Amino acid sequence: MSSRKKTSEQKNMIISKYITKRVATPEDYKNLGGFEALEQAKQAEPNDIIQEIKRSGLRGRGGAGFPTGLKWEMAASYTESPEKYIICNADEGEVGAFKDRVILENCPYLFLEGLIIAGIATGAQNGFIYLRDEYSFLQKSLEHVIEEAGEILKNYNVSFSIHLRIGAGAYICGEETSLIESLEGKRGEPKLKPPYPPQHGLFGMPTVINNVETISNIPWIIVNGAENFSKIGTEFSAGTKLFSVSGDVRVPGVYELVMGVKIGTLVKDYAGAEDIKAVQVGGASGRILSDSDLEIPLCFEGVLGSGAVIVFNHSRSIVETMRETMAFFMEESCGKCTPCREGNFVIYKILDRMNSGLGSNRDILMLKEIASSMSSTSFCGLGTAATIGLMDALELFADEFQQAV
Amino acid sequence: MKTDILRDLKKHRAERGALESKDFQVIGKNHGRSITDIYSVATFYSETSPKKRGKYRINICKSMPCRMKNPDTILQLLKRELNIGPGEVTKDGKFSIHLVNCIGACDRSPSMLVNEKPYGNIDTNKIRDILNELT
Repeated sequence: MSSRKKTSEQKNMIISKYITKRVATPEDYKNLGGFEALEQAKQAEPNDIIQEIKRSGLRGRGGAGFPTGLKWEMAASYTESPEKYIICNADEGEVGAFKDRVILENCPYLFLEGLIIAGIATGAQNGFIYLRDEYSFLQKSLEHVIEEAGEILKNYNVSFSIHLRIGAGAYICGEETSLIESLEGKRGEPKLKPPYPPQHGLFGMPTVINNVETISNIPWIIVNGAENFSKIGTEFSAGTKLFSVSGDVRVPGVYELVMGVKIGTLVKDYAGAEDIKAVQVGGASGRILSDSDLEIPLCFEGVLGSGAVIVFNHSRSIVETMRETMAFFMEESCGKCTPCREGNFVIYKILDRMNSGLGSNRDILMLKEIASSMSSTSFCGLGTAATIGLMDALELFADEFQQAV
Repeated sequence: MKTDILRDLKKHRAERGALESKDFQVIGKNHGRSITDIYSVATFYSETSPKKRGKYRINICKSMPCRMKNPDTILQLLKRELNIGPGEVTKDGKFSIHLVNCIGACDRSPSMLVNEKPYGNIDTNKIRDILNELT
């Protein structure tokens, strides 16, 4: 596919329209159609906005895919609550994911508009942006944009304050209960659910947590309508998705494509992959697929996760790749529960041994056993998802693991 | 906001290069929390770790997309030029090297952060330029 076609295609997309070039001022954003949704939302009944988002079929883009409108409705239902919060999860820590960074870098107005509309719809007066420490270089520009947003809110007569908070290098803080703990100034350890954040969240108040990409879809839905949004994509995955493609491809980058696009189309036609041995979809906690899986659609019905896609060519060792994946989880496990804290450590040790040719047949059995018990007994999503890729790899590339023992 | 302990911890560390019990005491007092409580928060996050760091923290991404583009040659060069390994600080306290997990710059791999500033598509020439600029 020629890059010209690609560019023109991306320009018409829901989010790429705003992020293919840097949108530097509120005026530039307005010229692209920005703040039109805010204007409409201001005049609408909050519940009508929520019903519109529900009808659109929008689901969380951070990986879990929870219906966004339902989250909003739950938080909004606590009408007697003295305070409610909206949190924008900008703790993009998944390996190979950088799509939220591109939104934050190129058009922060887009997600801020979504954040404000979420506030109007749910009745929250305060919005927090939880930015990962590695994106601290965006602090100044985001603070500036928040200031500009304050002026705009004054003009629109909307009472909503936005606060920027920065993490300190912990992958686990992308998990919503950990994120809340971190915002409260504590160790970012996950908490038992239920209660879910829309009922009992930040400082014990109803809280909606949405990913940067998720709330960046809101303005489009408000302006163009839920029906038009739900027409895009597949039955259970409405809309488009931003994919972060990296690894053995000619053109790594962010691509916005309609939900349900085939893996092969994304990595070959768009990112220019030529030699494909394996593809990791969803980052470190995602699935490992082989070159015979390229027809699988990228959507909640197929595979998706956060949309991080890493391509490996035939020169890459799967055992080494999995060792590095498990090293990541060993370091990022918060240590609260035993299966995750010990399991990741032991799996890493075994893979490290196998990678240096010192493995035994028993090791493969051990890997399978620990991986499956971790996925069923870990406390939070980090531990339960840590071995998803490993279990795929043990099946798809069994011969490679066999050669390592 | 009164709960922004991470910001305070980072500020203290930036001023002194490391965090000591005095820092935890001051921050604890400001936030109405115990010294052990603040210490437990600080040790949870990699960027508020009490350990001594250089004035310039060089965080090299070691996650898969960057690792695939050979950051080993970058690490070797930094080791040679600065005479320290990962986790160590130069004698003058100016630099420290750290191998870190994905910094979200996989479209420009290999990548690294020097304090807050990201550098993408780095190679040995670029590293030399960056070091020259900082020394």
